[in-house]
Parts: sequence; C-alpha cells; structure tokens
Amino acid sequence: MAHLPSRKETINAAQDRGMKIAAVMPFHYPRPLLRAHGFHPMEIWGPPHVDDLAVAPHFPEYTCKIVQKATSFLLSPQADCVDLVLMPHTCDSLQGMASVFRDFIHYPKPVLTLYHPRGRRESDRRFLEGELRALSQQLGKLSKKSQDDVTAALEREIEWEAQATERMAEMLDHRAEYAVSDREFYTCLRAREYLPPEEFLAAADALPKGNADLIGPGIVISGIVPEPMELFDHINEFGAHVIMDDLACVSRRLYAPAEDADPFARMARQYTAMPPDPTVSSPYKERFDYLTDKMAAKNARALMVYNTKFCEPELFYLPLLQQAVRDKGYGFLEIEMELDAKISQTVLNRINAFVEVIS
Amino acid sequence: MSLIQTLNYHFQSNCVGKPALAYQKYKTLKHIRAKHANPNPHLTPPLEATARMSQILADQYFRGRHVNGVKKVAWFSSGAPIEILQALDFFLYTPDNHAALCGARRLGAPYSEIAEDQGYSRDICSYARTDFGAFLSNQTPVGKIPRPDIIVVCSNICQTILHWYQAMGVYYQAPVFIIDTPFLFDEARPHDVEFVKNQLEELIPIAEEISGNTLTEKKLKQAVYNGKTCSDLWCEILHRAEHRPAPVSGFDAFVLMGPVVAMRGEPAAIDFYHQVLKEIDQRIENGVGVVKNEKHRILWDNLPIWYRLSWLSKTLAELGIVVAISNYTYGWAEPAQYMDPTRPLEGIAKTYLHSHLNRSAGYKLKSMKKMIADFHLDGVLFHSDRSCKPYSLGQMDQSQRLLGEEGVACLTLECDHNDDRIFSEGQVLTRLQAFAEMLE
Repeated sequence: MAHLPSRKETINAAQDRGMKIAAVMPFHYPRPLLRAHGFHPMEIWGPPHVDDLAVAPHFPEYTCKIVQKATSFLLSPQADCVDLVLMPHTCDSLQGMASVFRDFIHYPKPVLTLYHPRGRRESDRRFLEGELRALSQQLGKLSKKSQDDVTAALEREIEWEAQATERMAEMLDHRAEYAVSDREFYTCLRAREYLPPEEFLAAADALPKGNADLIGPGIVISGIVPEPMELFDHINEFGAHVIMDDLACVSRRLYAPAEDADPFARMARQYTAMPPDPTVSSPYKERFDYLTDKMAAKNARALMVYNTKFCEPELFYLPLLQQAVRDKGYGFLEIEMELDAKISQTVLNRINAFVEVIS
Repeated sequence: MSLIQTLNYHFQSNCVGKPALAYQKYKTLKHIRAKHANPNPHLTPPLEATARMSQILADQYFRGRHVNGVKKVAWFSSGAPIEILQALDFFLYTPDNHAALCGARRLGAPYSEIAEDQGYSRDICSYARTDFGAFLSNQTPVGKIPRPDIIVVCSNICQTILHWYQAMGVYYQAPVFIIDTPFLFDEARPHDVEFVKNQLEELIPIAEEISGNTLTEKKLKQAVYNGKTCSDLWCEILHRAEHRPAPVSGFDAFVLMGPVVAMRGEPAAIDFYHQVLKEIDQRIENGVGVVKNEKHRILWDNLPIWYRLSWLSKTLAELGIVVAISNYTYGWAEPAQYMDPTRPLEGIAKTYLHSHLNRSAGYKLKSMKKMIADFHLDGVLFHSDRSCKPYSLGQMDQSQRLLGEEGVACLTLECDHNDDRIFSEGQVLTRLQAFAEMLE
C-alpha cells in the first residue's frame, strides 16, 4: 500500500498552507465549514496510546476512555499545535467533557460546541441549519474571513467533501476489488479522520486494485472505533474478513447527498441523512432493519460489535440488536474494549472461537 | 373504549381503590404517630403529609392497573413537558418514578440482574435496567403497569433516557416522540427555544390523533397555569429549609417530590403541597427541625441513593448533619419561572430547556454557591452516581472549586442511585464520620 501521510505530516502541511488546526471530538460535524474558515480538522478518537494520568482530577473512572484519553491528549504538549477544539454533542460523556473544558479547565484555545439534533424531522433540519450558521459566526470571529470568502470557499469544500464521501461509499461497496488486507483498507478509510478530502481521494486512488484475498466468512464490524487496528489482522488470521462496517468513524458518516441551493441548508440536510446511528437516537427498528438488510445484501455471516466500555448509546441497543440479528440467522459477538493499545488474549480467544462457529 | 372496561375502571378506582388506600393512609399515619410516642433521639418523625402522598401516588398507580381501554395512556420522562398531554386528557405514567419506587423498595438490583441476564450491560443507567427487568419478568410493586399508547421522552435530563424509552417503545410496540432540548452551555438562544416550540407543535396533532381529543387553548393554558402553581408551591416548600433548624430536609424532599414529578399540576398534587407547606410552617412556628441537634447544614448534589435514604438520613442526623437542600429536587422548582400561561408553548419550551440537568457544569456550580449562601450551608455531599453521567461529570472540578475558592467542606461518595450492589455501608459510614469531623 502506498505511503499515507501521518497526522503530524498532515498538520505540518496544513500549517504550511496557512491553515489553523481544529481538534475535533467524535463525530458528526461540518468538515467543509471548518475548512472554509481556514481550520484543518483533526479528529480525536482517543488516542489509544496516550496515558490518561492528566484526566484524573477531572473525570471519574467510569467515564469512557475516549473522553479520558482525549482530555489527557489535549492537556499534553502534543496538542500545542491545536488552535481550536470542536466538541459535537454526541453523548452525555462528551457533553460533560465539553462543559468541563469550557467551565473549569479554561482551555487556552477556543472550545466550540455543536448540538446534533436527535430526530429526522423538519424541525430538526431547521434547527441544525441554525446551529451550523451559529457555528459559522463563531468561526468567523476567529478566522476574520469575510462572509463572501467563506461562502465561496464553503461551496468548494462541500463539493470536495461530497466527492470524498462518494468515493468512500464506492470503496465500501466494492471492497473485494481492492487487493489489500482489511487493516490496510480501513487504515485508508480512517485516514479521512485527518486528511483533507483531496488527499484522501489521492490515497484512495493509490490503493492497489485487483482481487482481494478475502478469506473465510464475511463479518460486519460495528461500534465506535476499531482500536487498536491490529484487530483486523487478527480477524484475518483467524480465517474471516470484514465485509462491511457500522462504525461511527467510518460508515455511519456516509451522508446522503443534498441539493439545497443554500450551503447551510444543504449541510443540514446531509447531516440529518446518514445511516442509522445510536448517538442520534435512531429508532431501534430502523437500525436493525438497515443492518440486517445490508448483511443480507453483502452475504455477511455475522455481526461483531466492538464496543468501547461505558459507551451507553451503543450498549442500550445491544440486547435487541442481538435478537434482531440472530432472528435473521446471523451470528453475533460483542467485544468490550477499554481503548488500550493492546488486545487481550481473552478477547482474541473469543474472536477466534466466534470465527470457528460461523465458518 | 368498552362500557365494561369503563365500569370496571370506575368501580375499581372508587369502590375498591379508594377505601383500600384510605386504610393504607390510616396505617401510615398510625406508624408516623407511633414514632412521636417512641421518637428517634436524633430525628423528628416524618411529616404527616407523607401519608397523604403515599395515598395519592398509590391511587395513581391503582387507576393505572385498569385504565387501558378506558383512557389513552401517555408515558413521559420525568423532565418531559406534560402540559399538552394533560390538556388532551391522557392518563399519565412515568417510568422514572416507577424505577425510583423500585429502588426505594430495594428492587433495583434484583430487577437489574434480570435485565443483565437478557444482555443489558451493568454500565447502563440502573433506572433503565430496573424498568427493563420489571418488564422482562412481568414483575412490579405497583401491581400492573399501564400499556402506553404514546411515549413522550425529553432529552433535557440525559441522552440515556432516549435510548431507554426507545427500547420500551419496542417492547410495548408504542410510538415514541422525542422532544429534543439542546444542552445549554450558556443561556438558551432564540433558535433553541424555537426548536423546542416547533417540536411541541409537531407533537400536538400526533397526540390529538392518539387521544381522540382536540387541544383547546383554554385547556392548555389551564394545564400550564396548574403546572406552574404546583412547581411554585414545590419551590416554596424547598425554600422553607432556609430556616434554622431546617423544618424539612433534602431526604424529605426526595420522598415528597413524587407528585411534582409524576402528577405536576394535577389538583391532588396542588392540594397535597398546600398541606405540606402548612405542616412545615407549623414546624417553623414551633421551632421544630428535622434533625434534633442540627449542627451542620449541607447540600446533596445528584440523585438520591434510593435504597439507603433512611439509613443515610439517620446516620447523618446522628452526626448532627441535616441535608437542607438537594439540587436534584430543586430541578422541579427552578425552571417554573419560565412558565407563562399567556404564551403557553413558548413558556413550556423555555421551562423544559432550562432543566437543571440540561445546564453546564459551570452553571451547576454557580447554582450550588447560591444555595450555600441562601440555605446557610457548611458543606456539600457529592453523590458520584455511576448511573448518571450528566450529573456526575463535572463534580470533581465543582468540588475542587468549592473547597479551594469558598472553603466549603466537600465529600464525594461513589455509589449508584438504584443498584445497591456497589454500596458499601462500612466505607460510606467511615467517610461520613470523617466528613463530620471536617465540618467541625
């Protein structure tokens, strides 16, 4: 697989282009709006390798590791390059994190928030449009860009974003045509967490084409973030492959295209039209039907939920999701992870046994 | 609605329920009065109004057993706007109250275990697990839970509740309507208010269709007026604890809050709070405090520990500590200032947006500081509640600020509001004793 720029290289390149760096917490947010204001978004999904000592004075141990590690990271010298933090309202834990950063930590860089509505009604779309406009005003105070410049840039960035999303959907639909391992494939897809869309498109183009060596039964992986990425190697090693995902960091962000003339209305429509997602309280049945239909279309054999501990939105769906998946004759496995750098042998044994059962 | 069901409902409610509940009230009163004869050396016997409260809540649950087929049933989350549903004459039921009731009766853990056996994680809210367990095992201390015709859930107390109620919607095959209240990091913005108002307007035709009734402006204004009256009375009751010695405690309030949560604005609830206020004023006149030797006054932050209310109340009283106020119970008093019967929908939108739990950790700290001044408090007891992240995240910083900037003694107890499996009496006792020393 061709070399993907690292996060550090990407930050340096963005800064060389005169852009500022926005650290963004998971996970629905308007990438084009940040870029139109001259902020390059770098998503923070942990990171898993950060120690979480700095978090101790702020959050109890029953807070999810994404919040714990992200707090430690943002408080560390590694985050000195950050010019702005954006915290979308994804769950109660990220709500608490945003509140603590704004009210108590008094983070030296601006901390902005974005409320993503929990419904798909007209009122939700109108509200989100208002949220995006309000965010744009806040960003405008920081970027000092004229409204005309922002509007022109926004049109361009939305277009880039649409191309990247379309490309990602195409890659996922034609997984078998990429001659790379699951880990390489998802490493490329997850590069969207930090690459500009044009570079992501280039990286996708560089992905070797040909027949993928997809061994054993196909499984669908669900959850927030598949860390550590060695997970994919182990799945392949045990004799299965990932045929599709329902990951917050990947497929749950396949926003449907929209055609509204106004860019804010267009973004609001897109960000309320994506696959069902627990963090926006998608109706249970809608999500189960979506997943099982997709599993049928992809000839998947099982669903593996790779869940971050204490992630309530995900946990609530599990018993009924398991029932819905099993009722349709698919296998189901739930793995709970602490977002640490290493997967325990116990977890590996469970995955191994699961693959044997569904093979 | 069939005639037989209607007749049965009225027969059960009036001819069976009322006498049985009157007898229950008599027994509770007798129990309270027996405590006067044989008093606890540290605690004044409970308010006699407690007996009346048990009666009106039990009456509500009793009628709920027979209401399906007679009236349409709306389930609502404890922080959800109920005024529209009341004006449409729904029978109202809140699963939060049911879960708390189970917790107080120490059924939280056994019901949670049933839910866990069905795959629910121990890391999700114990209220939700309690209600799931009750449903999955068809058990409940209230006899029978009414089937919902609609479920209305509001995000103003947490996001968790949306998932919990949606799952209940699957189990009961009932439509779920979400009222989404954006979290307030600062004050509510006009587009936040507009958003909630728009959702209320979307709810009205749906609720009208299900109820078979039409919403009239007059009925809605009346419901808003009644709700505000009820919450204002509740606010007055809580503020009576500003007196020394406190004539009503945070623990009393945890018990007495049932009607303002589950039956806000109902005539029975308003009458009840008038009675409570009268009894408390009598205590003030007689110089009676909840804790006989009141030495220290503290604030309780977060939900109660339902299964240990009595033990905590007695243990703190022995140490001369009264929990004068809790910001949890105050959550049903404070936002009522936004209720406006002349502009009902806008007032409802603002009220429910400004729910205590929908506000930032910084706002909560500010509110605690005001309570410390108004209620003459010496300390704060933080219940770090594993089941309630929106309340608990931020407490560590709040505690550090109160101790460092205000010199207020703080104690954090990590427990759970409904699941007693993580409660260690020995450890909690030691910490409370150390806290009492800090307060000296």
